[in-house]
Amino acid sequence: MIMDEKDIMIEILHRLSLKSLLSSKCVCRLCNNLISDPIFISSYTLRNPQGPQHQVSGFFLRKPRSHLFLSWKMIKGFVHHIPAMAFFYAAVFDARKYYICKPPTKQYHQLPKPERKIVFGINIAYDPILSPHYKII
Amino acid sequence: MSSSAENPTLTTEITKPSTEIATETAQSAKKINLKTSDDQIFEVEESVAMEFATVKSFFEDAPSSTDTVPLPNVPAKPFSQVIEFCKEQIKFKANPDETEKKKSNSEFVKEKTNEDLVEMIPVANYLEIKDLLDVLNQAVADRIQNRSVEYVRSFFGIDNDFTSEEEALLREEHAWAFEDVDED
Repeated sequence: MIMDEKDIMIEILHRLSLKSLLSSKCVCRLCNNLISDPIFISSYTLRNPQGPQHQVSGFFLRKPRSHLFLSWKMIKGFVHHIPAMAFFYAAVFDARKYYICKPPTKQYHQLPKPERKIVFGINIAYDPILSPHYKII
Repeated sequence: MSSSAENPTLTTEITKPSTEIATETAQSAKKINLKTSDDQIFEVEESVAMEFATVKSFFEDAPSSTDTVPLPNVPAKPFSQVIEFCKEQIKFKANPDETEKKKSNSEFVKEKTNEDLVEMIPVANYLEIKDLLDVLNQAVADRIQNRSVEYVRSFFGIDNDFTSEEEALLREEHAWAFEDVDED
């Protein structure tokens, strides 16, 4: 039974597009666990270097009382290419307040105020070779 | 009295190498019997059997054994297809041609059913045939690419073990990934 061979499943999952990979999370618990594993995510990113981490995933707008994330999906009419936005986070700067948001779930979180007075920019750094975690610099 | 002391070892060295060459050529025509889990015996040329890393190391560990090699994890049906692949593969070893090899590999995969592929993978894995495993993994990925979740489940023969709430939640999280998939 092929599902008993984890290494083989991982090998097959590595060869899927991000879209197919994410829908495969629904196949069964084992698939979901394999795909959600941070080690898998980083090796998938390494093996698929043209992946979505190089693309802008959308726009973040601040309305007076709430925040709105506009993904490419929502503005599909204007762009033909829909970048995948899955595991990837976006850093957002707005009126001296900094947010980190996770586009797919539209979750966001305000970051602590930077220690320095002048901030030139804020970026999310991610190097799959060094670590599976994101750093805000 | 010392003039007659000749060195006796000088003349004996020449005879050694010829025997080694003789055994090597004899081996290449040798056949090996391989017994599958459902007790079928396959008589395979040694050059083909040596493509199976598992069988190869069996002979390296016990070079003198000439009996049938048991393959307890290998059923006959996928095994015969694996042999078919390896026979093709050997031709390219003698005469490497990447484009021809790719063509032959994709033709091999094309005429196989989904079931064939899924059955062959554990066999290729057990026998450690790296090239075949690569070809099969890619073929399976190509066949489930952009297909519905239901299709992927039936492809692998997997039962859905999520509750309907859990599944709904997962689908919601990446809703875009479930749109525009190919029809089953």
